[in-house]
Amino acid sequence: MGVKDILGGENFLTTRLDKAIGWARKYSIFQYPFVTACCGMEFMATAASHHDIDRFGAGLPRFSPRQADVLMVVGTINHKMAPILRRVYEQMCEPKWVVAFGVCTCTGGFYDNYAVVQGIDTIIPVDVYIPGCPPRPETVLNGLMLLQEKIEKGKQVY
Amino acid sequence: MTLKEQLIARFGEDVTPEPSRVGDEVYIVHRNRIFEVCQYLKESTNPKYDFLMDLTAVDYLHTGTKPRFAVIYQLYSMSTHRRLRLKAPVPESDPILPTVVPLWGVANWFEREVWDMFGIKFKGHPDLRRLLMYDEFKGHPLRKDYPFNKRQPLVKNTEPYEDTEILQYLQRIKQDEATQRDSGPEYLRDFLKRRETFEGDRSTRSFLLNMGPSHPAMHGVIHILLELDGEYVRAADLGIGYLHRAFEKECEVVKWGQVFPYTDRLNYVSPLINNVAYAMAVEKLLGIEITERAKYIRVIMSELSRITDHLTCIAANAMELGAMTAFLYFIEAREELYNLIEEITGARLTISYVRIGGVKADFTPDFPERCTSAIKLVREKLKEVHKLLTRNRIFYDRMVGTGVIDKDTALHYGFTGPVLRSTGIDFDVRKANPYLVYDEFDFDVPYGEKGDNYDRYLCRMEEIEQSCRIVEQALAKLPGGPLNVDHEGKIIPAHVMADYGKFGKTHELLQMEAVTDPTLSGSNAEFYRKIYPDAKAVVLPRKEVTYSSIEGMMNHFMLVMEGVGIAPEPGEAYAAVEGANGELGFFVVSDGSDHAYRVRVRPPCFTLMSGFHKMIEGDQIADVIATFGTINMIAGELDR
Ligand code: SF4
Repeated sequence: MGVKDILGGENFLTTRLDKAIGWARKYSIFQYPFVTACCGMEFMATAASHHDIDRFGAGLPRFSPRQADVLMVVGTINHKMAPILRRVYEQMCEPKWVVAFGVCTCTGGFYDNYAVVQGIDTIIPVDVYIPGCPPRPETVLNGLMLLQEKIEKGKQVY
Repeated sequence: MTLKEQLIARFGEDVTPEPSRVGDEVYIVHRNRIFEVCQYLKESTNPKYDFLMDLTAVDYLHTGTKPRFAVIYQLYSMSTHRRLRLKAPVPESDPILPTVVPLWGVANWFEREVWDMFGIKFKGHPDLRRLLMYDEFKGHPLRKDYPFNKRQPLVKNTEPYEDTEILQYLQRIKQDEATQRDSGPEYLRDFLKRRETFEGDRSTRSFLLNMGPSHPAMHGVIHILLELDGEYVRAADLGIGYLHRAFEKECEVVKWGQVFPYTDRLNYVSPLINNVAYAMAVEKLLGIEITERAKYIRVIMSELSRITDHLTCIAANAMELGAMTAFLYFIEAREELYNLIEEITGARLTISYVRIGGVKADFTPDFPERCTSAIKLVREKLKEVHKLLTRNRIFYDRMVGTGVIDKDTALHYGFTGPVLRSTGIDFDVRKANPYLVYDEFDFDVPYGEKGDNYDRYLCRMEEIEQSCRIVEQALAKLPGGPLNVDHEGKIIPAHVMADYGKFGKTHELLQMEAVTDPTLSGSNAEFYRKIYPDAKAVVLPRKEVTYSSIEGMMNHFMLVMEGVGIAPEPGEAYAAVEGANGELGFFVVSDGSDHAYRVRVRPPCFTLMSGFHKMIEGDQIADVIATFGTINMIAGELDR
């Protein structure tokens, strides 16, 4: 039985609580950077002082999937890598979100060949797509804000 | 005696010189004698070709050349800086030839890659298994008859794992271990045997630890299997291919000029150098000489790229050792350089700036000024980081004496670049085989003594300074004149390029700064319609021309469409530049059509990683991180 049920299901109290939790969650994003390729350079740039991802409460990367709640898939995923990505995703605890960073992760990008997975959404569910090859830091921040919105407005699990 | 006479005297008919249109030295060797020929070249000829630069293969299925395959050996003479190419034809019916691993350690990985990609076997190879692809993969992707987009996925659906699947997985691991013991790779067999003898005495038993492919302190996907004895690394085995994106196959599908975007993403920390290297290889094949100004521009952009590469490498390395401040400082400088590069190329990272026959766009008027101030900032940051790191006790202790490699091992494993130089060999392609206009600049090649992490760090720091010097000199000397060349290698002054415009005024038109309406009907469109670049030029027309004049558009269209455009005469060429990590070479093969028959890149970090285990064996596990950082492995280039 979840906390929600103890509080009596959907009612004024739980919707307020939902709101409060959503607000808190959106500013405490612990991301797992699954960095594989060129997009990682822009990921670095977003994290460093010029663009400063810390302003959005997403500055702290967690390198264990068990402690992270947003899986940032940064860079091309090929078929050799796919099972590993899948396992990392499986290991994360709910609630969890996935960001596809860069066009390679969105659709395979311009690597339409024998090696590359044509979009990571064929292996794991994706919440926010950030296109671009690589996306500029500004685009990344935009994507991050979309994710925050989604986290805030979405159904809260607790 | 010339080399040819020496070889013929020794091997008779088994070695024949092959004429090369582009001036490379090429010999065809009977496959059964390849080992002897290599050994002779390495040990006895004058000059000695003692360094294996690259080893690859070509599948000649579509050209009709018989036999179907040829294995290519790129040798290099460290004493005379000369290059030599050996070709060993291999028939499809019996694709096997002797290994050269006893001569060069680096051949181990090269040959594994050839086996993986082409299905050519090497007799006597210690451990011939797949390198880039996975074991479940069927077929050899670089063979011409393997469809370029035939996928063999490992994860098939979006269903989550079931518990039973995990159990099956564990079961499979157990079984694997049992089979590995008898038939697995040599290294693992040894380990498992050794472990069995230790069974029961747990205190001395060594154990295996997986690092990667997704590891916090490893920027780049690589799998290191470590055999640990307590904290110490006893042996290591590397698995790569987690970022294999079929670069070489993709190049065979697209046009010559369309390869550039893919080269950006090889070493994505210094994309401009890759661009330049590829363009140089194709230009060699076409036999064109680019203009003086384009050469200078290429040099300046390459050096800026080298600086960003070293900055990123040191920043990431320091961060992994806990020095976050250094990381932030260097990224700040890099950001400034990115902005500068963006101003010229239109992109921060994936720039596709170089064109066959020139570059995409000229410098903006305020470039020299901005460049000088960016260089100033880089120097400032360099000073600050020197203060923060170079004499920092913690950093020093972690870098000195770790990841040591000696000269001979480094050469054995085909190391080049800062890692080779840290051992005390001052080999730098810019000095050894000057290309573009590098011989006109005054710069030093820093090298180390001990071949440890600290030496590598210092080498890179000093190289940043040297690159700054080159940029400054190049800016001061930057000649005027035309930017790009046409197909015949003649220089087209900008105004001649527009000469085909049927009306007057074109002369002044091109002297104007190009501020264009991006549409065909803008108020300036009348002017730009008059520009009619030579349809036979190899260089893509400038973007503003493409977008604003029908002729430019058609010219662009013709250059990139099927069946027309750039088509070098059949032939093969190898061109190399000094990448940020070492020699970056492109081997291109043309069959006379409008797309490359084969593009092979010699990635500098491939050889570095093939000898990586030698650098970490005997060190502690924490040193693996420091060593990995100073190698600056870039997965895009390693796995291609
Ligand atoms: S989207 Fe572009 S920049 Fe990002 S990983 Fe793919 S190829 Fe590289």
